[in-house]
Amino acid sequence: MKITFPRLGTVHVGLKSVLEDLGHEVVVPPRITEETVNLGAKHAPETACFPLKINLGSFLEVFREHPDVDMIVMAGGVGPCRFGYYFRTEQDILTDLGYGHVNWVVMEPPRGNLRQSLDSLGALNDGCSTWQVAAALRLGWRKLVAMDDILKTVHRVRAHETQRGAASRIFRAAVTQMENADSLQEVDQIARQTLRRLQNICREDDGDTVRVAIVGEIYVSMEPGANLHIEEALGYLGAEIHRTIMVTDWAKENILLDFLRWDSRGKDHKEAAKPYLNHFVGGEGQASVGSTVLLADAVDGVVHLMPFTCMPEIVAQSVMPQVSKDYDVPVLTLVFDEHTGRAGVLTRLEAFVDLLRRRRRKKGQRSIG
Amino acid sequence: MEYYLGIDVGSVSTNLVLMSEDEEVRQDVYLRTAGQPLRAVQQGLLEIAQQQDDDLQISGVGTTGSGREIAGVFVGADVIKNEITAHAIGAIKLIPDVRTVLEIGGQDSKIIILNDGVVVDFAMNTVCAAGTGSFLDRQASRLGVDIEDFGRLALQTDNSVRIAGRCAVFAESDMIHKQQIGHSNPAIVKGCCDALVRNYLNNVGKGKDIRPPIVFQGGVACNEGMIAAFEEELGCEVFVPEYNKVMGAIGSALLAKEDMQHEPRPTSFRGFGLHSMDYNTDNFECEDCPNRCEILEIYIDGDLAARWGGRCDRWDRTDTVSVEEKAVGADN
Repeated sequence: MKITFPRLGTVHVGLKSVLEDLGHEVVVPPRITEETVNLGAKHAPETACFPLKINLGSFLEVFREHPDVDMIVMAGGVGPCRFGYYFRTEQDILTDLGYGHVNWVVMEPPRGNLRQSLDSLGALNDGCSTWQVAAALRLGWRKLVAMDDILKTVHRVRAHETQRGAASRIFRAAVTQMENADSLQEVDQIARQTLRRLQNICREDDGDTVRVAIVGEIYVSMEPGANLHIEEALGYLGAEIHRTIMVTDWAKENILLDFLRWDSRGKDHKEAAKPYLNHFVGGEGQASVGSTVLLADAVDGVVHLMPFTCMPEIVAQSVMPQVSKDYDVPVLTLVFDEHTGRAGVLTRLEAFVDLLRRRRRKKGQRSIG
Repeated sequence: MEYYLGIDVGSVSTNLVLMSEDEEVRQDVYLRTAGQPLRAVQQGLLEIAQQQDDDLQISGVGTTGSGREIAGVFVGADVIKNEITAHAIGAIKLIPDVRTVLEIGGQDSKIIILNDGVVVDFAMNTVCAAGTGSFLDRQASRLGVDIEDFGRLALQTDNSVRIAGRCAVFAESDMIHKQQIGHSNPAIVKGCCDALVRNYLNNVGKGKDIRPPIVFQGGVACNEGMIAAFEEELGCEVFVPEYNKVMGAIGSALLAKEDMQHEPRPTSFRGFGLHSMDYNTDNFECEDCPNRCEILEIYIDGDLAARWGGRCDRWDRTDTVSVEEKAVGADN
C-alpha cells in the first residue's frame, strides 16, 4: 500500500515512521502553504471548517505528485464537532474528482466504536508480528515525544534568540533528522543535540519577557500553516509561548488512553471550565475555557485560536470575556480561514504583546512601590 | 529645541505631526493617501519643510498605521508601532484618565479600553468594513453631499429612519429603498449614523466594558451626526480631541520620543530631502525555505535602501547580498 495522511504539526514524523516500519510506502504531504489552502478552498464547500479545506488541498497536492497513492489514514471523531464528518466529506469530494480508488482507514476514537477501531488498526497491519508492531509504535511514539520536547523549547527560546529565525532553522533541521532516525538511541541523540543547540542561540532573559498561552481548536493551534505561523510571530515579538495542547497530548487523549477511558488532562480542564461551561460542546471548546482559567496566573495573556465557523470554539469565545474579567487575564481571539490576512493578524498580535508588556511593567512598578 | 516626527499612514489618509520636545504639536498635516502611501509621505514632508526653518532638528521618528512598515523603512523611522498602541498613547496624552477610546478610520474601526493609563483590552473590526469612513464617504457622494456636511445633515432632524446596519451592502440598499419611498435626506443620514453606531457597539464593542471618560477619534470623529449618535446610545459625553484626525501620528511621535529617551541614539531619519527623491519598489519570493516569504525592496535614488517582509532576517540587511546575488542565492 502507498499511504498518505493529513499533515498536522509534527504528526508526520511519528506516523511516517510507524507506517514505514509496518512495511508501507508513505507519502508525507508537502508543508501547508497558501497554495494548499487555495486548492482546498476551491473544492471544499464554502462553509466547511478551515481544517477540512486544508486537508483536502493537502491530499490533492499529494495526488498531483503521486497519483498511485491508494490509501489515506486519518482520525475520525464523535460528538458535536464536525470533525467526525471530515472523512465522509473529503471522501465524497475526492471521489468526484476522480480519486475513488483510494482506501480510507479512519481511526475512530475507541469510545465511539471499539470494534471499528481495532478493525482499522488491523487494516494497516499486513503480516507483521505483534512484536514488530509494538517496536514500530514505540519508535514512532518516541519521535513524537522528542519533537514535542524540542518544540516546547523552541516556544521559549525564540523570544530570546540573538539572530531572528535561528530557532526555526534548528527546528526544521531536527524535523528532517528525526524523520530519518531509525533507532531509539538515534532519536534520543538528535533530541539531546537539538536541545543543546537551542540553548546556545539565546541571550539571557532580561526579565521583561511576556508569556502567552495558546489555547483553542486543535488543528489551527498545532499547524503553523493554518495559523499564519503565529508562534513565530509571537516569538519575534519577544513573547514566550505556552501551548496547551501538543501532538502527544492529543494522541493520548483521542487514540491511546481513550482505550482505558482515562482522560487525565481533560478532567482538570472540565472542572476548571465548569462555572462557565459545564458540559462538553465538542472539540476543544471546554478545554479552551478550562485552560484559560488554569493558566491565568502563570501567563500574561491568552491567545485563543479558532477556525471560522468552529462551533465548539464559538461557544468558548462567548464566555471568554467573563473568564478574562474574573481572572484578570487578557484574551485575544483570532479566527482563521482562507480569507484571513496576515497584516491584520500581525497588527493585533503586536498590539496585544504591547498591551501585555505595559501591563506587566505597571504591575512590577506597583509591587515595588 | 528638539522635535519628533509622527507619521500615520492609513488606508484613506496619511497624517504627519511635528511635535516639540515638550509634547506640543507644532504642525499637523492631513493628506489623502490615494493609494500611494510614499507619495503622500513625501508630500507631507514637503509641507513641513516649507513651513519650518531649515535647521529644524529631528531627534526621532515614529510610524504607525497600515502603511507603517513601508513608511518606516522609507523615512528611516526609529519606532514602527501598530495603530492600537499609537492611538492609545495619543488619547492618554489628551485625557490622562481616559477609559475608552472609540476610533473609526477609513477602513477599520477599533475600541481600546484603558485602566490607569494602560491598555487592558482592545478589539478591531473583523470581517467587514461596514461603518467605517470609506462607507460614509461613499454614501455622502451617492447622496451628493460633501463628506464635511454629511454629519451636520443628521442634526437637522429628530426623525431617524431605521437602516439595516449589519452589512455595508444591505445598508446601502436599505438607504436607497428609504429614499425611494420618500424619506428625507436628513432622516436617512441620521438613520445611517444610528445604524453605524449600533453596528459598532454590537460588533467591535461586544462584551467590552465601556466607561467614561470616552474619547472618539479618527477621521469619522469629524462627523457630528456620529458624535451625537454615540452620545445618545452611550448616555454620556463623548470627547473629540482637537487633533482627532491625527491622533495616531501624535501617539507615534510620543512613542518615538519615549523610545529615544529610553535608549539614547542618533535618529535614523533620512531627512526632509526625501520629498524630492525618486523611489521605486520591487519584490521577489525568497526560495530559501518553504515559508516562501514575499520580500519587498525599496530603492531611493536608485540605491537599495531597505528590504522587509521576511520572517527571518536573511534579507533584512542591505549591504551583504546584492540583488544580482539574490538570483544565485535562490538557486542554491
